[in-house]
Order: sequence, then structure tokens, then C-alpha cells
Amino acid sequence: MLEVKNLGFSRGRNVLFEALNFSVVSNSAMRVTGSNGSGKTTLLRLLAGLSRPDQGMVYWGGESVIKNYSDFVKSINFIGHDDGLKKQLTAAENLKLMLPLLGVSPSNQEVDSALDAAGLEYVKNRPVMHMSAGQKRRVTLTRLDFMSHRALWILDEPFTSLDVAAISSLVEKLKNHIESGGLLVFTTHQSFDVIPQATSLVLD
Amino acid sequence: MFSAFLSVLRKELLLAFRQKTDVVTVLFFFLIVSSLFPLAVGPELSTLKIIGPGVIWVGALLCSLLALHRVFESDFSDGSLEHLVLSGEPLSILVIAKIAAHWLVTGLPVVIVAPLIGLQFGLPSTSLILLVGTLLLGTPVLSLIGSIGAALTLGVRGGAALTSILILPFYVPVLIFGAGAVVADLQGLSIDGHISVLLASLCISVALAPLAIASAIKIALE
Repeated sequence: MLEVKNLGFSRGRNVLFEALNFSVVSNSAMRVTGSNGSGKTTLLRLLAGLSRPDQGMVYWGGESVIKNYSDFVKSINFIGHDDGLKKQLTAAENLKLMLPLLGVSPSNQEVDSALDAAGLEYVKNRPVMHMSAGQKRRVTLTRLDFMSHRALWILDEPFTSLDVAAISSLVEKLKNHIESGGLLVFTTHQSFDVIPQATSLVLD
Repeated sequence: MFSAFLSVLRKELLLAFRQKTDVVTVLFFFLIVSSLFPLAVGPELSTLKIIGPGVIWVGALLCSLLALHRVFESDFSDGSLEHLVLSGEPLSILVIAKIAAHWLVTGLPVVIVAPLIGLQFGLPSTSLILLVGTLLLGTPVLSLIGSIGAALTLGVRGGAALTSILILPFYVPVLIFGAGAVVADLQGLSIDGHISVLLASLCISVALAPLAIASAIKIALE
């Protein structure tokens, strides 16, 4: 279970949020919404332990994530704004060299078929710099196929630049993850309820 | 941990292979800098012999500086550094993989070409071998120390210039003992002390620099 107690963060004088409390349990999801600059990305980075809160603490399984960071970090799958794709490498190369860092070493075939399933069959062996924004996003999200062993998924604007087909396939993946005992925290500007069972947190 | 280390190393080498111009630029810079000295100083062989080791070492040092900003900069801007932190593997180990790759594509070529430049300065073959030896010990130290500076200036405007100012003082001992060993040998003096100091600085920097770099990266990402 992910628990946030009395979380506060400010940038200089600008208080992004304070006294924030919430929890996310297994088999559930939380959607973070709010206007631009309201601190959605900052909140996700705090949850992933990439930044430190000014006040309060994030707990994972009852323990402070900062104290147990090396354990905690192996339970999360964080996808932020910056996708970490190398533009000179192909989609397949990027994935094959990125996944061992996350503790999985899939075979070339597995990576290829995951990319095919993501609709990247004809571009997977092209350098990422020749891809469109949506295609790059698809490459990044293909990672999710290999991340079922990591319970907590923290996704920052996963639906950005995706077309309708890709959005529905992503929603399917997210629902599967939640149903198989996972936790999901994501931000979105999507106006419709992509994942109806998700609780909502509004930052202002 | 080992597979993570290997994948970082392979990724860096593959990237370098795709951007060969970066590697070639560094090498040409080294060739140009060290070839200009004989032209400027004149063809007097006894003078060239004395300045040769120093010039080659300064050339290697400048090459190291030139390539430094590339170690972490692109990884910082495209989010790859976050991936390294979030992998849960010890960041200092992954940092060693990055620096090892960096040295293989920018340091090692310089070491390999150095004897050719040494010939231009009329260095005898024993000195050429010693030159390669000291560069093999010294250039990894330059990469390691330099990477601390590169990590500390991540996200800072004018980071490349700042890095040079920050780390040049720490490059000086390596330069003195590296070039000094070859000169001392030419003069028939013992070089044991020089080699010991180079070895010691290599050991210390391999052990400590990755830790410092890992902390600097974590600070830069906050």
C-alpha cells in the first residue's frame, strides 16, 4: 500500500501543495488532475523518490520510502515526461538496452513481438529520431509489457500524443495491471474517465 | 547488477559507434594540438625531445576536457539519468560503466595514437613505451575526476566552461607525474615514484569518484 501523510512541497515562495494525505491500495488506481503548474509532475516525482518533500513523508508498505529506497525503487515503474529514449538508437535497441536496468532481460524476439503489438512493426528498426511523437510514446509504453513484476506504476501523462487505438490498448494494459493486484497513480488531462474505478485527486 | 552494468556499457558504446564524428573530433584535436608544437618551436631535436612528453600529456588532458561534457549531459536532458537512479541498482556501479565507455572511446584512441606523435618529437622507443604506460594509468584518472566536475555542473548554464575551471587543479598532479615520468626516464633518473603516484591516484579515483558522481547526479535530479 502506498500512503502519503501530510505531504508538503514548495518551490521558493510558491506553495505547490501542503498537508496532502491519501493512500492507494492494491487493485486500485488514483488519477491526479489539476491545471498546468499545479504540481502534478512534482507530486509524481515525490512519490517515486526523485525529489524530497519539504514536509511529510511517503510510505510504502508502512515504511518510509526514503529509508528503504533501494527496496522501494524495485517495486515501482515510473514513466515521466522525459522518455529516456536515445534518438540515435532504434526502438528495439532502446528497449533491449533499457530493460536490463529494470531487472528484466527479455529475448530479442519478445521485444520485437511487443513492439509489433504496439503497432510499430514497420518503424521498430528505425532510429527513434525519425519517429513521430506518438510513435515515441508507444515505444516508451511498450515497457509496460515487461513491468508486471513491479507493483506500483507511476505514469506521468501516459495518454499524451497517443491516437484513439493506442489509448484504448493502454487503458486495457492499465486495467489488467490493476486487476492483477497492481497499484497505479497517473496524471491526465483527458476529460473522460479513462479508468472508471480510479479515485481522483485534484490539485489546485 | 552485472547485466545492468553491461547494458549501460553496451548502450554507450553503441551510441559512440552511431556518432563516430564525436570520437574522430577528439582524436583530430589531439593530433593537431600536439603537431603544432614542433612547427612553432622549431626543428631542434634536443628541444623537441625535452618538451615532447609534456606536450603529448597536455594534448591528452585537453582532449579529456573537450569530451567531458558529453558524459552526462544528454542523459540528463533526455531522462536517461532518471532511469539509472530508478533502476534500483547501485548508481555508482552504473556510473563506472558510463565512464569506462567514455574512456574507451575518447581516452584509449589518444593513448594508441600517442606513440606516433612521440616519434615526431624524436623520442626513443623506450620513452614511447613509457609514454603509453603512463597515459594508460593517467587518462582513466582524468576521465574519473573530470566526470565529477561534469556531474556537479549538470543543468548549469555554461557548464562546460565551469567544469574546466573546477577540475583543472585536480588534473595538475596527474599531468606532473605522468609527463614527469617520461622526462625523468630520458634523463636517466628513477621513475618508481612517478609510477607509484599514478597508480595510487588511479586506485583512489576508481574507489571514490563514482560515489561522488552518484551523489552529484542525485542532487542534480532533485
